[in-house]
Amino acid sequence: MASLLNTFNISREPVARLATSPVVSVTRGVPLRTVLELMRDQKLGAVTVCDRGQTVGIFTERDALRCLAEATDLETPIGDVASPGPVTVEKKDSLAEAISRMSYRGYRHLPLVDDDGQVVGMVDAINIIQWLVEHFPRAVYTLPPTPDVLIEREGP
Amino acid sequence: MTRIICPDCGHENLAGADECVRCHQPLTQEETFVPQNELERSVAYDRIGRLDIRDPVCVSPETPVGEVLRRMVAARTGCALVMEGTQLVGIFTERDALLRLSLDRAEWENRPVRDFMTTPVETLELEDRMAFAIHRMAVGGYRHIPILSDGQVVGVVSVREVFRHLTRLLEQD
Repeated sequence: MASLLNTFNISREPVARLATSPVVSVTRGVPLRTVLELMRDQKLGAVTVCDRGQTVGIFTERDALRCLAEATDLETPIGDVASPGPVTVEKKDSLAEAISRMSYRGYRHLPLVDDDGQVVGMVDAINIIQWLVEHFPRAVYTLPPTPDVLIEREGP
Repeated sequence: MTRIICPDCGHENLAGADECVRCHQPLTQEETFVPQNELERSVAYDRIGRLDIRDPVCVSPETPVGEVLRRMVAARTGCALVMEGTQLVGIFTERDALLRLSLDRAEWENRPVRDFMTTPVETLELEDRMAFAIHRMAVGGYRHIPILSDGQVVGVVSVREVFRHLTRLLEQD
């Protein structure tokens, strides 16, 4: 019997299995203009913001939208418009945990930290979606359209 | 009309097809699928209608893009649907804002959103299965998918709604 279980156990599978994006970090004094140009040129959905070697914030395309909508001064230091204290995940956390943290506040990017608390990557929600699709068995797509009518027993 | 995805090439076929019209791989079920928990069952069988589908921000093709941005922020959403009457003609997302708008806002602020939107728009139906939405997001890299019912837009599904649903199911197990 084909089950999803062996290939698709997101409660056990660690975040380390994901193909994550490299993380791009900027220091908190860098102007908004430079960060927007960087995100556009490198097609980044988010960058982390650091101060003296520590990650202190995250600036995402959602924040960029807000800055563009509100006509924020492009010379504003990125540290002033980034979201402070980003929610992170560790490599040993499960995919289920990452999904849960993302759904908590609608985040789509979680910095990935190593055992020393250093940011080593960026988990984009799309990375998780792609993992799910790669691990769906063929059966998911070729199921008969109506599943709920199979149990019909003859009367006694 | 229910569709099924070819697991080999990703082509969308009409339900009931014995082989993929594009790559000719068989689409019939070789094994019995027995979901082991609620999450597996839901991803495989539940329709998109089970998700919390959000009311979209709708604008006209002539709406100035500066106003579209402000409406997206006010509604706390990452996309706006561009409608001509009841017809969906385009979509504009936060990614488009980042990639297509220059840093000189005088160049775009009062220009119509039609100049910056993506068209045509990939949509799904309320009756399509959850696995389908997830597949479409993975393959297209789409974070937002407009959902239709009887040809009319009924809302938008994003990665956020899919994850909320998965989280609820995981908490049940």
